[in-house]
Amino acid sequence: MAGTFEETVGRELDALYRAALFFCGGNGERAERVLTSAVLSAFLSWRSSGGSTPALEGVERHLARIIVKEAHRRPEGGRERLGRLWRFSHLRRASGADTAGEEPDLEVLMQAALDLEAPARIAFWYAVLERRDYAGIGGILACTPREVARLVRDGQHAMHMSLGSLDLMPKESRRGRESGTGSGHGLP
Amino acid sequence: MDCLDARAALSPEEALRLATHQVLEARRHVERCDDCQDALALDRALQKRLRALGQAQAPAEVRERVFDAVARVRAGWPDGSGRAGARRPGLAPALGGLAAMVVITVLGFGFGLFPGGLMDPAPPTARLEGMRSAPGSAQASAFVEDFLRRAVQAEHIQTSDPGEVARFLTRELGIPGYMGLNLPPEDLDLQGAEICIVDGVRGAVVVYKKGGRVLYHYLIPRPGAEPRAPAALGMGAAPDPSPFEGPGAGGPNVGTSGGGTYPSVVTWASVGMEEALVGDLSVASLLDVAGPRAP
Repeated sequence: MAGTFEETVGRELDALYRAALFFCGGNGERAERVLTSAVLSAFLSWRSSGGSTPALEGVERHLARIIVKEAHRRPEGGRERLGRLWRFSHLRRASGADTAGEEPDLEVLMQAALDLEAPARIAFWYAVLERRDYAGIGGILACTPREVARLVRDGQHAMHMSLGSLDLMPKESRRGRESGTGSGHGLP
Repeated sequence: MDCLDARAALSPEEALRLATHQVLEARRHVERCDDCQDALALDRALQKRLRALGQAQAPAEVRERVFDAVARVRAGWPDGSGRAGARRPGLAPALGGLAAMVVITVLGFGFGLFPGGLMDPAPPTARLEGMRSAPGSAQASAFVEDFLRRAVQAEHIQTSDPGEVARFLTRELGIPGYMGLNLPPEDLDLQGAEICIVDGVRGAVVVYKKGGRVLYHYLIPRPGAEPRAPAALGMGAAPDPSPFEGPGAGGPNVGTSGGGTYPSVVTWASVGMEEALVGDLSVASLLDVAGPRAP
């Protein structure tokens, strides 16, 4: 659907922001910065093409490029911090201060994403959360669907390990095997 | 076919797809592959566990700053990205409303204000029917449409302080020294100012009342704009006094009478800026308010 750049991007800004937030491990300021950079870069590309290139796909590609380039990773001591975050969240819930039910805090989930390499984090988000097909994700990451499949596999494994270490993965998450002991990530 | 190819062919699992040779082969692979079935189970479990991540919304001020940055780049200002990240202490309450206004305007306001669409390389897609006949009519319709929308859904920064409006315009759009309109303050009640986006360009509207009737002064940055004297545009032909008086006379009155369509529209340009007055006053009154502005 055609429209001005702002119209097109404005319709999807929530989704773009969610992605940026996940890619940045829940750091809102960093997410805003990379999102703004991606939107501006995409706008310049869009304008120089005379408006013929898709605005939204442009933002997604630039967002991925920035995240991969900056390679945001968990800082030193991050895993311990993640554990403390989760314990704090757990205590708060147990004390009745949090009525969010069994869902873990968003901050915990976002922080867990930092255990993934940047390309795997991006592939994981679009594949698992946004349910995109691998060809479309390949367009964002400039790689083949087969490479996307490898990144998603790595991302699933890392996320599973990260959440599993916090006891946040259900027992039935792997078919007929103990969590983390299967060969699901040792593909040919 | 190996695991990677099979998953590439079948993901996402729930999507409908043609039963091509490749898809059938991938399904056969998954049926007999424990690793792929593990991966599918893990995909479902992670999707369920992480579903809360799909509910976050971009804060209004983030939206505002992102589009602020784009507007600055559009206008040719070099500090688009830097300013977008800057915090503006003390303005947060006002920005919430403004951001909502910007969003509403961006999403619902895709028609062209100026022939050629200012700096926008893409043709506006949602132009109103009937706007294409005459350039003057098209411009007037754009202003009228925004006037109508504001009549039913207005969000304002309320202030009668000209200095506050001037600071707001400088801060938000880099417009220095806003001088107001060509009438003494006792004849023109300043109501406030808002951000608008017209044809993808971020501008401002200064809201006045004159004799109880609402009057909008639009300021839309347009690099390269040459000064142009005020002139009435096609649609506005409101007789004076307006027949739309009475209980609702304090707000914008819109309608037609005697072949004229309200509101009236007068436009002009100053250096780097398109300006317009829109209101349910006569064209003569608007020209008087606009004042003698040399081209």
